[in-house]
Amino acid sequence: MNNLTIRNLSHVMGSKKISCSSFMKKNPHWNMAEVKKKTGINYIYESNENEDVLELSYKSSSKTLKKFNKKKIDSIVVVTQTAKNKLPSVSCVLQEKLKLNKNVFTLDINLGCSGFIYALATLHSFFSSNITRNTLLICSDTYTKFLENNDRTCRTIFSDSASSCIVSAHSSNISPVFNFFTDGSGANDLIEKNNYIKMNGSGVFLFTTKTIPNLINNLLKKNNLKIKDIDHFIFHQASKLVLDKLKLELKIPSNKFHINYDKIGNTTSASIPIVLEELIKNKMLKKNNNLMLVGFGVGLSAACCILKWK
Amino acid sequence: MLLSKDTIISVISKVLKVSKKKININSGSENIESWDSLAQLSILSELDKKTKGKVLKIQEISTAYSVKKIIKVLKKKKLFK
Repeated sequence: MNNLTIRNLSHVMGSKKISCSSFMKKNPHWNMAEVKKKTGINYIYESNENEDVLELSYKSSSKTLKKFNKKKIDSIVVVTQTAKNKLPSVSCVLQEKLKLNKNVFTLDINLGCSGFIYALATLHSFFSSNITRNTLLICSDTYTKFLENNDRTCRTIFSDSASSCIVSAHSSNISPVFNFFTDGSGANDLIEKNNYIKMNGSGVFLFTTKTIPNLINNLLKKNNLKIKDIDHFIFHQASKLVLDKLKLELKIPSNKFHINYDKIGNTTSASIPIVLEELIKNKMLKKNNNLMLVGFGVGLSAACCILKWK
Repeated sequence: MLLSKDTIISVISKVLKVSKKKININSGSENIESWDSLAQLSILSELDKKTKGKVLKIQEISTAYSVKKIIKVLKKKKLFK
């Protein structure tokens, strides 16, 4: 049986750090104190004109690869929906930009906030069938390039970033377990139209608060586990309103429920690995800890995974 | 608790900081500029509190961006008096 290890996590944020309070300068009618009560977000990061998904991915990957033998990378997977060019895929361009082996498997995954977990599931399957062994996995989006300045819902939430890591196969008698959910009827709740991303926040909120508790409880039940058996819950960092509701509903203790949205905003698919990176940096993860990773959003799509930390 | 038109209008008025007198059955995001997606979530959250968690279980209410549409959905779910 194969398990997977995640290491060398790095990330970069868009270079413009913006205090959410400053939005009132351009939009005096926005009551940011009220907005922040809901979003919980104090700062967002915007990419500048020279930064796009490829550039942010390159910068983050360069950090990840500093302490890893490039020659061992046999696959590049990029989760993104906001690449500057529709084609070619970011993973192909990165092969050349990072000077990686030419005999690599490359794949772009077109998903948002559930994308990191979909990528792990894909890689786990590749590892099990010996297609690849060491993957450079990147999650990156630049939503702020697709937002209208007067869009209070999106402008006060989304940040641009890239997160990267090495995901490797290792033999183990324990495999990660996954659960997925998709409801395309909510496609219009978070959508890009005419080059602008629009979100019906209440639609995404209702989908999430209805779907996620069942998704998690079903996965726990299927594996004879309970909430108390999970050491760390790492949710997609959507916003305070969403995460508070889920935490309360699932009765997750605060010391196991990790957040960073207040400091960096909602970074879509990168949010889970960025929290994971912080936990590693703060030495909070111990060998054999059970991690529950949970992603949800655009699609509408949701996924969760229980992973034993190695 | 069942919701009345007056309660709904009071909630909308409070969230949007618009006088109750200026809100009627035809009010919605098309004629109240501040009624955006974030405001909609606040309106629904307030209505949810008044119905002890019933409103935020109705997926279709997320796109009800007017007094008329909110009432229509609540009537369908037997939450309107």
